[in-house]
Amino acid sequence: MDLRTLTNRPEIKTIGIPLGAFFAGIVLLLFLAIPGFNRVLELQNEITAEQDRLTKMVEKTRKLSDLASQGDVLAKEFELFNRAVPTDSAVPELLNQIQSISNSTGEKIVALQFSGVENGTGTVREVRLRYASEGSFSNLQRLVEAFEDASRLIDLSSLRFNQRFDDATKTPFYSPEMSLVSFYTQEPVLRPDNPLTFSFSDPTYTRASEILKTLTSY
Amino acid sequence: MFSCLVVRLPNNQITRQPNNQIMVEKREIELIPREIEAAKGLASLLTRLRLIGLGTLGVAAVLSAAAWGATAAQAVRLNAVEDSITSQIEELAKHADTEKLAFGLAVKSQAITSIFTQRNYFSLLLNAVSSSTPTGINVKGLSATKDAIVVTISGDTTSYEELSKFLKNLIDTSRGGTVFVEASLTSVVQDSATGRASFVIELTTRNNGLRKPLEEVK
Repeated sequence: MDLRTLTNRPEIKTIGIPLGAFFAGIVLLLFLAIPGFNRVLELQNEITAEQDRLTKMVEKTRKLSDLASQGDVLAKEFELFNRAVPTDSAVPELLNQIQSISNSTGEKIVALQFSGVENGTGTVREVRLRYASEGSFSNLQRLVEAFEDASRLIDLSSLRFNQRFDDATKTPFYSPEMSLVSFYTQEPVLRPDNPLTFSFSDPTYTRASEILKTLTSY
Repeated sequence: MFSCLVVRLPNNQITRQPNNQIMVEKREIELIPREIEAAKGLASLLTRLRLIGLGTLGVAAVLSAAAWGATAAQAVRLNAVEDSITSQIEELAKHADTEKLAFGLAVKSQAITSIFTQRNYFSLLLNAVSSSTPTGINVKGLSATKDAIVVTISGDTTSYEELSKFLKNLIDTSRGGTVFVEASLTSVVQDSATGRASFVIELTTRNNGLRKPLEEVK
């Protein structure tokens, strides 16, 4: 039986057309209408997300414009903060500062060794040093206080000292050994979507700024 | 002709009367021919089938067209928002220098606050030992590590009375007691040749005894 004969049969004509239309309708619903409406919902979500993103960018641009009007103050503050926690490890400058501190406190450096860089907490990285010197107890006290007061931040992670005797002069002296840690942050990667969290009125910033202004530059 | 009218006599009750007459009780009489009734039913079914089939197709076509139209409209809206974002990114790029400074200050403020709040001030430790040491005590060695609870000090003395005084001073809150909560003598060795007694003391630090609250830093 060929197709023409089949389609000419009266039962096919009477039942086939409505059934065909029904199934065509179902196919349209399943493969066109429902996916279409799903796509509309997806697009609406995408538009909402993109509009939020745009709103944040507009707000960020506005904040940056405000900050740009105080560009000199911003640059000076950045310099102060960058001295305390620079954007790179700046090991030679750090060694130089430690040497200046030792000289100013009367401690004689016996060993100063850069031990490497480690990841600290969050975005902070740590520069680790071994330090050994010789001097009196009061010099040692001044040295430790000077480390804590230095404009490039230096922490002690361990302190050990022993009293020794100078064979020539027969006088006692102390030979402290310390593990020192200094810090730096990595160069920021600027992305349009990164929120701008900085504000001159942020208490974290204002307190840090107050402290840094009291530190001594060596 | 007459027989055609009696289409069906279902459930007829046949009874014989006392005079031998047969009585047939007709409970139902159908006057419409069976073929006509069947044809009417079929026509009604076909009409409903056509309505359902074509209706489904129609509704599906309308919904598909609506979905297509809505998708196109949402896509146009999305493109418009994305164009706005592109121009906003260009606007942000003009403030890249300011953003770099602001972002750096935000990161460094957080880092500096964290460094100061977690710092162990070893100067407090040295001051505590120094202020607790009587004249007859010679502190010869010390070992301390960041966040460690126990600090070990060693020394020598010619007087046990001085040693006792030293132990009391170390936990006296007007002297070493600001940092130490307990002082335990772990060994004493008398050298008969020199007449001096060497000792080792283990000091237990207070909880966060070597830290300073951020408000007290400088």
